[in-house]
Amino acid sequence: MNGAQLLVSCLEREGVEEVWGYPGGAIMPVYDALLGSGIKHYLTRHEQGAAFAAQGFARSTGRVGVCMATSGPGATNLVTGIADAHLDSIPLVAITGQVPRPLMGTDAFQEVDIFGISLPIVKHSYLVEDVDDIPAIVHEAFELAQQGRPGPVLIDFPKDVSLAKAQARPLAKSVEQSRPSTPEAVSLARARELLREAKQPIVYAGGGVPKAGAVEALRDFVHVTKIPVVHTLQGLGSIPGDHELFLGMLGMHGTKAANRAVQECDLLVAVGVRFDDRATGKLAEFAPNASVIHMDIDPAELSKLREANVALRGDIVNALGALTVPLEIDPWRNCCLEYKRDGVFNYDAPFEVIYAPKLLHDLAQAASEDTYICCDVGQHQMWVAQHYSFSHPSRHLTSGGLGTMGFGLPAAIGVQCAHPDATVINVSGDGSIMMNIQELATIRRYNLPVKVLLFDNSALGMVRQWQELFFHNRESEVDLSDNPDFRTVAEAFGIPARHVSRADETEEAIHMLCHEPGPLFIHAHIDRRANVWPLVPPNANNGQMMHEPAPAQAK
Amino acid sequence: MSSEFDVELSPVPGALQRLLGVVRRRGFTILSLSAVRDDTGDGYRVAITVSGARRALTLRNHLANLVDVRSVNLLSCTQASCA
Repeated sequence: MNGAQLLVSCLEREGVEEVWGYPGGAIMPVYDALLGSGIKHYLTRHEQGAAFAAQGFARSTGRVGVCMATSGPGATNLVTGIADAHLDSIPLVAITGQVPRPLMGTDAFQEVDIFGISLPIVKHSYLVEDVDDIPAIVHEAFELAQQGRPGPVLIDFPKDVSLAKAQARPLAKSVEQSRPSTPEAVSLARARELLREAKQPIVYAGGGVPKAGAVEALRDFVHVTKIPVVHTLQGLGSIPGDHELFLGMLGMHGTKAANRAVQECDLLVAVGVRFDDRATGKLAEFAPNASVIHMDIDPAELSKLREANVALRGDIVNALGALTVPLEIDPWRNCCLEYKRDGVFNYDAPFEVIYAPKLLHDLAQAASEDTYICCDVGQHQMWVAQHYSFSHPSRHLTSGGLGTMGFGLPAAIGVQCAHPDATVINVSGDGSIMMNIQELATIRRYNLPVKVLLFDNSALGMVRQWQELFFHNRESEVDLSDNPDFRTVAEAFGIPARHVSRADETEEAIHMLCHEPGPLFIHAHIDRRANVWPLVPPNANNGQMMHEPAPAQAK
Repeated sequence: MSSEFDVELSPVPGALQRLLGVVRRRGFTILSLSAVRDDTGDGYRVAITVSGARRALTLRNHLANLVDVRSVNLLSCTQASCA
């Protein structure tokens, strides 16, 4: 058995059944070893697509996603996907081929120091220097990717090591992971005290909730305490979108109710969040009157940006369980519910053109709860967050921390590979879709029934919106009126496509998205002038939201 | 404001780069640094003094998160948050 065969055996031992990647010179022994293995390899058309497909698998299953590429450009093309996984704490193992060790450091063909390049964006990384280290490295890489705060791990694999004869054999997979420790009793007691004293508490919950397996614990906590809830982008669905006490997403494009309640609260129960700037607005004026109970598995997040009155490091499930007690906060809860009623979105756009928020709202009503929505980045991403009601956070895949245009389509491929019978919809924009449109070929190759809902406003909409609002409407390099005919493009890839431009065409489009058995590309033309509302302007606090101008004032 | 750390590192490739990278990315400037093999020859002992406006305790936690860091102690700190 050579090193490459040992690597593949180790992946099998870790339970890997599918990987996404792109072959090349330095990783050819691994691709040779994949032949006849129990692992299905999905060939993407760009290494970035492989990294995001692996992320789609990981985000939708909670398991480690695996991607691979060759040395040099193959490795650097993975970098954006690895960074994205790092910022959103996604368990990913990226395997890169490397030139043979005698050539390392000589500027050899397709040599790049991916180990050094990736240092700031991985949880850990390995350069395999001894063929018999492979079992321990692979085993540790998978454990690290998943344990504690998840993240990406890189294994750089020189070609000569992959061809060397190995004596070692794969290690047994860990049976189960140990749960993180329970927060200290004294801290829990202090947190209970703060909860009892609070008159106006709010739960501020983020992506750490699903990653900790704490969705049910959070739902129980909210059910008993009856504290109103706001979510970050990554937390959406932890409390179902249609739950009475869910006030919406907070932050830059949050709801009026969510931001108002947070600004007025006297206690912020922060669960699996990192006080990201898109959520907090002007940090110094965020929830200015609130004490903070902060629960997170990563001690580096506690008091990183906002000093916690009580920091609960460790298992969120246990922490929430220890704090689940009834509270007397009826007046505050009723106040929040009034805020929610006041801020309800209006979907009665009196135009014939397609109104993206209404289409997404209607899609959420029509789609099954198990539908996966994979967003790209831009206006459509925020419209999804605002107007699509999620039943569980695993159903919403979005690039939050890095905000990577081009994430959605390959991520949808990874989700569909993991859930062949599920409805998987990539909601994209005409800017984002062009970042990884080559992956339509991957959909065709594997006959994946991925759906694409493309909102086309012939512009980089979010940038255009900011230029309109904050740069005196001076448009700079946002015009995409020379877009290709997306319907023709999709059909050229062998994907059935449909163009819709009128509001009365959306019902049928939604029906097709939910019920067509195979892949489908819906190209929806929307108004170029449409903006995402409401909006917290830069350097403002979340209480200083801008709202959509009244129709008479609208441009 | 300066902070002094004592760090034990595994003797593996990239360990020192990771450590220094975290210090830089998290907004601290290195005032002094020494790295020597520890008494057993099984690791590195790094003494590092940094300055920065952010919380030294948070930097300690970021360093502790590194897989190659066996231990990290904040020996001294002039910030109020360290009191």
